[in-house]
Amino acid sequence: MASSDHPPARPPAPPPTAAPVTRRSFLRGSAAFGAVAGLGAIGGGALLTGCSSRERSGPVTELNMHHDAAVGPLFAPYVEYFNAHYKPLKLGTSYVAQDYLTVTNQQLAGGNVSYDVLSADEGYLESWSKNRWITSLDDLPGIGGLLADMNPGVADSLRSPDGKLYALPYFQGAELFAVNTEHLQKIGAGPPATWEEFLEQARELKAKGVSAVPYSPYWIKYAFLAWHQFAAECASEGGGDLFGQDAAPNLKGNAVARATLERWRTLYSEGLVPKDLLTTDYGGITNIFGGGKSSFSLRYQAQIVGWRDPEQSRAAKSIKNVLIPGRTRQTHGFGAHWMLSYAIRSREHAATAMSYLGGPGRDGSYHVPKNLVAIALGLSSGYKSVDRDPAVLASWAKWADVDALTEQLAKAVPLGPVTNKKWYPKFGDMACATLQEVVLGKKSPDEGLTEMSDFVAEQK
Amino acid sequence: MTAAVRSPRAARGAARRGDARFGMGMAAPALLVTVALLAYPLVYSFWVSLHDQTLGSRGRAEWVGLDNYRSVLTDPIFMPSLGRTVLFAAAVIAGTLLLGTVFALALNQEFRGRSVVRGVLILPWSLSQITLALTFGWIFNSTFGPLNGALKQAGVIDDYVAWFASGQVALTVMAVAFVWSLVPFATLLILGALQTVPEDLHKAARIDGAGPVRRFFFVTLPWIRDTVLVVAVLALINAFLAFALIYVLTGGGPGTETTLLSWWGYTTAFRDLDLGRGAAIFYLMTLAMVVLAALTALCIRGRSRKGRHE
Repeated sequence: MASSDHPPARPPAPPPTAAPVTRRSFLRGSAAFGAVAGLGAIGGGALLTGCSSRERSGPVTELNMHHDAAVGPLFAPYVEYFNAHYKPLKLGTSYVAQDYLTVTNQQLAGGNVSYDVLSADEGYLESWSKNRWITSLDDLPGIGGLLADMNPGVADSLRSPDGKLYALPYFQGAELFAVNTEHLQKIGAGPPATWEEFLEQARELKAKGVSAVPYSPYWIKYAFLAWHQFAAECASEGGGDLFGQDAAPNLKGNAVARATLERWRTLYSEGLVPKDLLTTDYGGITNIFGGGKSSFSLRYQAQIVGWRDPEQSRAAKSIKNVLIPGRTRQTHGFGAHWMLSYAIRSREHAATAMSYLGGPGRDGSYHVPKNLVAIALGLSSGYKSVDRDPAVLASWAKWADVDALTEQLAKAVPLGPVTNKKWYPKFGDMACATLQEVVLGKKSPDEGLTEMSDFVAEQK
Repeated sequence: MTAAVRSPRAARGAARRGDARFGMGMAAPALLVTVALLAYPLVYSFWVSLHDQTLGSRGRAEWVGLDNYRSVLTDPIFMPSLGRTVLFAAAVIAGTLLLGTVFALALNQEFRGRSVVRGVLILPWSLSQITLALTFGWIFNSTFGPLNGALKQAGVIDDYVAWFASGQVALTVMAVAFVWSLVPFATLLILGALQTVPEDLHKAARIDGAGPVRRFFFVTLPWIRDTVLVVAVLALINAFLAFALIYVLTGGGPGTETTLLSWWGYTTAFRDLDLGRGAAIFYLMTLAMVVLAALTALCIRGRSRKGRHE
């Protein structure tokens, strides 16, 4: 009611009768209160234990996809497309601003899930399937054809140890070496072919004042990146088999791993990498290389697409992907998945959204894998038919040296079945901290490698 | 017939017992809620800490007794984390008490615009911890932080300093940020206590020839000691529970150099999903805080008794 709408004048209310609170009247009231509070406590108990059996509201045609907020908004036109072409289905979005996997883990554990399809990096499939937080896709329509179209090794990475299929590919990435060609020209050098040559160039670039911090790698804990970068540099020297097929670690006494860590210590102690590199966030490191303040970096395709974009990167014109230095020039390959959560209300509708986001969709066009994953983000879709599509290859040529890219992707080495182990995320977290401690000189490379190896033995 | 005739003393006793029962009845609902909100989480978390339990797992929790505690206490991360947590808490308490007292003494003086200053002072306290962390992260950024810019322009440094490169410096920066956010609250509490100091005591001390410093240490400080202790305990508890600053600024790194017990508990319980071990870490933290709070209470009670006897 607006303040100008005065109510009609009323006679003054009689003074309240001062009814004294007797023990009897009070206890009678409190008994009723106690009953209400007791009922509330029962409901509250469910909240505290995270065992809420809350049903999702709304029609079953309303679906939700779950993603991190950094890349999630790129899906907006694809969500619109789905809503226009898949009526009456309606796809919504659910984003997590920071620490996506930790928060998603907590949501799944707490029963607070309102999404059907969710994305996740490798490393969560076994624990999530064992906890029954995701549902099997073995009965997905047309799954046989999809599996046949996947790149080698991809289908295996989507299965849990019990052999059931739990995911469709979101993307396949690889750590790619990038250089600032303008910086290298200033010292009259080309991209380094070996890590020794790289080290010499880095020292020269710093000594001549071309770049204060020649190398800006992602030795950070976020998304286990320090571990991924370590795996990439080990692979480049032919030491990519950090774990065997039985997930047994090959870290203790590993000469390539030790040499990699010694190089990291040298880079850090000589100031060839940013001093606060280990605590800088993802965007901070991205800006160092993109802003032309360093000469080398290492990251996956989607990041290089960003660095090559003049709107995002001051050094866009000078940045180029080249083969990673090293004896074998191999790198670390990894992937991310789409999964179906336990909170789906209609398996048929959820499978439709799943197939649209991580497969060919109803019309067989691979709309999202091709247009978003492969063309816009520059990543491998995980499907042969998409990655060989002329439109995709043409789009990669816009930001990449395609010859170097395809040669590097062919040399991408995945870590193998270990990434699906239940303890792998825990190991990734621990490995990042240990690698950082080695870089800081708190532990020797051998101590660090032994610690990681022992940790795995303990988990197994 | 004799039962109906009660002595006045017996009647007074019965009335007192009735009043006591009524009082307890009045307090019972609040007591029940308090017990439910405090006892249930405490007992449940202790139960969890005695089990091997994965967060959210539908499998049954397995009884492991004190294994989680043994595992935590023998973990190489534990002692350094505990040491860091205690040092961090000590720095936060010292800074909060010192600055809180100084500001409170200043605001206890009559000057123009005092009410405005009091209002402005409360602002840092109203900031969320995340905002605080982002603000300090920006100020101390090694590439574009204004602090580096100002120091370089003033000729204090030649090159930008990477403040978060060293765990010790990073922890110091975090302690500064924490103190900055806690000082307003400490100032308010101490200011409230300062305003209860009787002016007569100061007058008497002045007559005895005591200067401002002696009057502060021998008149003011003893009078506000209880409040100072409360502020110290609150600062200690807040410092033990520091989380957002680590989450935003360092992620516990470099390495584990800024890993405090709270962060370690969080990563164990919610990243590694090892709820049993995480609960053990948090329970040990809670116990430490209970012990410290009890010590403080004893201190205050001891002083009160001493005061009464005097």
